[in-house]
Amino acid sequence: MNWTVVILFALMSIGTLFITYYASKKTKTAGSFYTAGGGLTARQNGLALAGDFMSASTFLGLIGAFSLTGYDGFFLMYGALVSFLVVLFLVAEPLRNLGKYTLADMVTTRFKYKQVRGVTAFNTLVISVMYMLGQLVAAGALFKLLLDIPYNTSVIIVGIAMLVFVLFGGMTATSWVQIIKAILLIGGVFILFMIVMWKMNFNFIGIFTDMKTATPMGADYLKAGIKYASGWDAASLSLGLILGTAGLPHILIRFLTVPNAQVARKSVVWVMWIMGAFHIMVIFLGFGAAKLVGTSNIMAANPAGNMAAPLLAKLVGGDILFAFIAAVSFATILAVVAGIVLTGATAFSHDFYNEILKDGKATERQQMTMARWASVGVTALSIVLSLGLQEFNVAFLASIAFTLAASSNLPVILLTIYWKNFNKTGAIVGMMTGLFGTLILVALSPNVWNPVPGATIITGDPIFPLNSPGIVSIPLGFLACYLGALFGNRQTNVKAITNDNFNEILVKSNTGHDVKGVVRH
Amino acid sequence: MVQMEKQNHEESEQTNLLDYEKIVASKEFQQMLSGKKKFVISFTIFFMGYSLLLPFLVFYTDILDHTFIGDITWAWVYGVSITVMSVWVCSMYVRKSEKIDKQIQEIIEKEGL
Repeated sequence: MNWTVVILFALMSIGTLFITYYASKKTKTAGSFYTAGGGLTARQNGLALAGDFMSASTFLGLIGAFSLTGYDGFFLMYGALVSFLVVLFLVAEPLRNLGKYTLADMVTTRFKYKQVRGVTAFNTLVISVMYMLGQLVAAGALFKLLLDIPYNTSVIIVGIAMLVFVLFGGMTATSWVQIIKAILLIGGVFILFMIVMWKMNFNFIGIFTDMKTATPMGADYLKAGIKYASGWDAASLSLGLILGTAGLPHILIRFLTVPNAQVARKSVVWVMWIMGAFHIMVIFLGFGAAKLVGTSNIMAANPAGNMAAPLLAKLVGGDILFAFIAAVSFATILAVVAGIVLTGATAFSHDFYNEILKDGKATERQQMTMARWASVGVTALSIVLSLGLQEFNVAFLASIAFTLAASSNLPVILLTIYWKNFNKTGAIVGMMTGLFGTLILVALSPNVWNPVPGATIITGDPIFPLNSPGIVSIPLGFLACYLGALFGNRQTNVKAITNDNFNEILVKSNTGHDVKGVVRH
Repeated sequence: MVQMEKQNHEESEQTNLLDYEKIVASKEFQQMLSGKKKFVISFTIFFMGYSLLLPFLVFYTDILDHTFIGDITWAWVYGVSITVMSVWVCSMYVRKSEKIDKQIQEIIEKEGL
């Protein structure tokens, strides 16, 4: 047991408890629990967005990917920044102008039906739980490696730690934890970057020459094709990452924590600069890990390369830097998981409980109680599921969540805002097809089927050939929305009414004269 | 407070139901919308194209295999340039939006929203 790590972890936990204590004083109403009263500044929300988005797989996974697969690391990385351009150009401002607490609020501004709200909320819950599973499995693996704590215990510890500050501090505490985590993560990566580059004499050009001989891949390390077999493979992965972010509920909900579209826009600028700087440093940290730690040592600790960053920290900075990087990883996972639980709980208590069951008439007190119970429920469900998923690849679980978001949420979000002839039927059919289509394709994919006995759940040839179903399921989601809308328009004669409503949406989403859910202080 | 907000909301919905038609049909709104559309569509095509081109260029052509400085090939320059491109496109959006904000402000004042 590494005591420096334990002490830093303890300090970090005490710190988050303090934040929670102060946040809990501000969390008196349901609105403040769900979206921190909509009063965050651009810088705060930008940092929190970066903290919400950069998960353990961004930090540990990308450095590992560059160290082990060289150029192919790009295909996992560059989609993230471009995905925030999609969010900025198409989704962020209309969402702030139309939404209140949840994604369902936004969609039901146009289609005022309980079924639409129910399906959207259900979708949010499924995607959130999926995304969280990847994070919890990563947490379990990480703790096992760093602290020698058994997998099951680690998952439960992370679950409970995160639950405490979601329960008492709501969105305010979650936002602050994400902000501090983003600063720690950038700071930690910067320190590590400076030390590693100092060891390499800050020779940014010479390091490329060194990399040609530093790994078993030789000169191929600097070329594409170590991990991905074809351009289509790489492009399919990138497409999923580029379109996924704009459908992830826990990212989108962050745009409801700011007062208006201008602030929403400026918070994306912050994300761009933070993640841009992070991405450039990550490339060189990958090089550093491959050269200084060595490919075989990285693979020995974890075949997927997840331990490259901690091992590099230990090598160049000793136990203290190792402990710091480990603690940053812990904070990273906590902050992301908290954001997701909060999103799931809000969908449950605001959409299902208040709007659907109680017709929007539940008291503040009832909503707060329900939101807290929902947080407990979502956490418990995710912990139980992740205990059974220990053997699954973490990147695979996260990529399903991204693909689900891009296939089921994104088409409905875009068409609701931009397509005049879209309707209730299209929204419901589109979301359900995107959701179940993706899940079915995954169930038929090589992730589940393998001719080698014992390699995956089922022995046999996969029916669907691709690991990532995005390239099929995303167009499928859009197509289902379109066909559903055609069918719905033919069946009912409410076209005139929906059209009227679309003009209202058009004015509101562009001007933001009717922003909801913001507490004016 | 919530109830009051709701009431206001319902009222404004009833009184403004026709106004929305009028606002959307107005010259200023259409002008704002078409300017925004042109900008958003052209830039979206640009950044999607720019980033999705990379895998095909590095896998199926060798034009990025030439060296830039030392042993750095153009493939690495392209990869890093996506970061620079994203930040640039983002700043273009902010600049354009500030102009659109002014148009919207005029519409809001004129229509009394």
